Amino acid sequence: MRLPLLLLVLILLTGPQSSFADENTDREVVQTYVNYHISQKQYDKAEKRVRDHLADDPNDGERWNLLGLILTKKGDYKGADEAYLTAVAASRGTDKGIYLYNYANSKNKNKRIEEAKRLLNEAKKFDPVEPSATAALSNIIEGEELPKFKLVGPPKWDVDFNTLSGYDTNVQLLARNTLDSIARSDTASPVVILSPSIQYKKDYYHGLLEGNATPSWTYYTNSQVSRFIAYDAAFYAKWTPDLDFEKFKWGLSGKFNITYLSHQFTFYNWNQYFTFESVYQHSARSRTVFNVPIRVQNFQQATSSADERTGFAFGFELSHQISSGKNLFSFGVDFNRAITNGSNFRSYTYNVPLSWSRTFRGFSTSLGLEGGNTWYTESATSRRDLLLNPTAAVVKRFKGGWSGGLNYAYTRNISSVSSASYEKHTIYLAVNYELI
Amino acid sequence: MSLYKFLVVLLFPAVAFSSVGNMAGVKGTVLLNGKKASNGMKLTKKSVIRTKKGSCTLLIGGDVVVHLSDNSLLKVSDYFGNKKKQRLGMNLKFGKMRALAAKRKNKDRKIKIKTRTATMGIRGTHVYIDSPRNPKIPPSFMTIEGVAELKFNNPKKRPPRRNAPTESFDNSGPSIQQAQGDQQGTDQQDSGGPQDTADRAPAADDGVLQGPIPPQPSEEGAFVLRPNEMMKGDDLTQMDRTEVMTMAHSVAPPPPAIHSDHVMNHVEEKGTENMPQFGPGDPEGDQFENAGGPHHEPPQFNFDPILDGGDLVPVRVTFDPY
Repeated sequence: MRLPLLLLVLILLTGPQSSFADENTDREVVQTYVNYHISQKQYDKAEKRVRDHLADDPNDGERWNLLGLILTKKGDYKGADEAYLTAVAASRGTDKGIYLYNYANSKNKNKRIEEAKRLLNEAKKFDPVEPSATAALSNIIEGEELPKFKLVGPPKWDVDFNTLSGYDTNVQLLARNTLDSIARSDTASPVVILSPSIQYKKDYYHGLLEGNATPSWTYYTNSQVSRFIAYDAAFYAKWTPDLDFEKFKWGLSGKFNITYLSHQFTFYNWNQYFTFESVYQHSARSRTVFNVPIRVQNFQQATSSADERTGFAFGFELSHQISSGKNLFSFGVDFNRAITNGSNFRSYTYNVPLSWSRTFRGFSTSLGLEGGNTWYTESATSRRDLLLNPTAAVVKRFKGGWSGGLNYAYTRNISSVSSASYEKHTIYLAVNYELI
Repeated sequence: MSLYKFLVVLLFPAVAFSSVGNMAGVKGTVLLNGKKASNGMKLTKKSVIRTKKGSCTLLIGGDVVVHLSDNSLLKVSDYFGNKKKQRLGMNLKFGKMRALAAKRKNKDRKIKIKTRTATMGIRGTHVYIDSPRNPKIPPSFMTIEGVAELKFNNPKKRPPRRNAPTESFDNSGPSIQQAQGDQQGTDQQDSGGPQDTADRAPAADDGVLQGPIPPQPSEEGAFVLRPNEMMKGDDLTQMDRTEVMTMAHSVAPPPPAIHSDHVMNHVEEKGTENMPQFGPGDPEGDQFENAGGPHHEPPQFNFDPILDGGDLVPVRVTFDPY
């Protein structure tokens, strides 16, 4: 009697078992087929495909839930209930909450409202499902479909600390302008930047609210005239509505940035942006990004009313991105119209940004090139600038929340006003540590 | 004419042009037998699929999925299938593909993908093949899950060289030793194909191969490719799992899950076209855990305090390729 039992235990322990890898392949295959059958409205074929799969892989809770959805669609509520029940038993965590919600939906459609309420109360115990389950409980009507289900993630905080150390061949206290009161530095300097960065995400008002704050402290170390510290703080918030699976997605963002400079003089300026951001996704490999930024800026320094840079600007940014293998290409055009209080800085600008990025053996590499023109149409000098700005970066992410990158940028501004022409190289090593 | 010959002549067109599967996920310019392809079109065992600026998925025989990347040419060269047997032959003239064959118990299956240098045999396997149009560049064969056999068209070809593993191999897939241990039993029982007689290099404690010992073919002349192994020309390399998944998903991302009825309604009305995330998908692996994800926004800094109003400059210190 003991021997057969021992043999049975041995067979169970050592017998052929499908590996996790095979399960993944099989599950992806069945999901691909079922998605196709559903897109062709072939619910009988979809059902058969899932049932065949579940005969071989009975622990696949996700596919039991899928079977429940298919049967609910076909009006087979009894069969759907059995499938959901198995899905719930085979799952845990958020998945279990989702399947309980679907189970409740099937029960309610089958006019079993009390059972549906009991299941929704169970589903409420899972945080990401709780808002949908609560909304369903307060709006439930017997025999009708429950409200659209939505997973709500918990608020998420990210805190980073960034250190940058590098070299700037021409620290620009002034650039692309002709202010007389502050001389352009024309000074090469080692630069150190320290900055924490705090980010927050939360589901909010039928959408997602994201915000971040990035204060920074920059120390330009060159001796004599140019040793100074710049304090900077940027605050950004963006709201995007829920537009699951829509080709066109949009959002609204606001950004506030203030800079304070301490040297032989003090200086501050601030900018405020309001931007309409949108993306049209043509496919998984191409999309078009269209943004409409409006900027309000304030400059503390001005020597004459004609050089007053306080004012506002508006324009658009249009770019197209193509993903091919591990490559991402982007090209576009930006246009900006600045309407400042002083006539010398009222301008039209267009830029053509191009970029290419690629992952290679764990490194993320990118090359960028931006070229553009600015016309200061009302300036006393009829100033016109041509800007060229190639960049290169390589980034590596390490275990434990560390990442590091090497960045290089060359900037060349050729202006019809000689004092506004300049060129500079910056190269720096950036290290990022994600605290949370 | 005998009755047998008469029946053969009569039934030949029905056999030759009977459906072996369907086109799905057609995006951009894709041609089926020279005509513009669309979702749902039937595939026969002589179908020729050409992707130009587009991609598609082939659903064949009920349990095989073939994702074809852009600028590829694939011919279905052979098909036979019933409840007990399945035979599928494909010829990838050029281009990239990702193929998945679900495991089927009690079914004798032979699925072969031919390229200009070698033929890959799969069953219960997930593979990636890149056969460049330029004949000077050798095709790459990679196994993502399961095992595959690789038989070179030139039987006199010298054995491949074993390269060192790619640096950041994170062991998220089974190691060679583990794969050998795990698979030997199931290979013998399920596949009936040639066993892995490759002379594997000894593995260190972390499961990573040490030393360039070349693998040897089986008596049938087939090499066995295990998970995360890539054969390119004469080189056999144990790949980093992150890179394996990035390459695989660059051909086609995994199918979106349907977890609720409103997602199912969307798939019914509009298909899965807009559901995958833009780009080749998130890399996998330990090094991306606790790291905020690859779509983490890069921080921005002000390098030149008065530079045109103090515009912030993004600094790429985080992994943000897409």
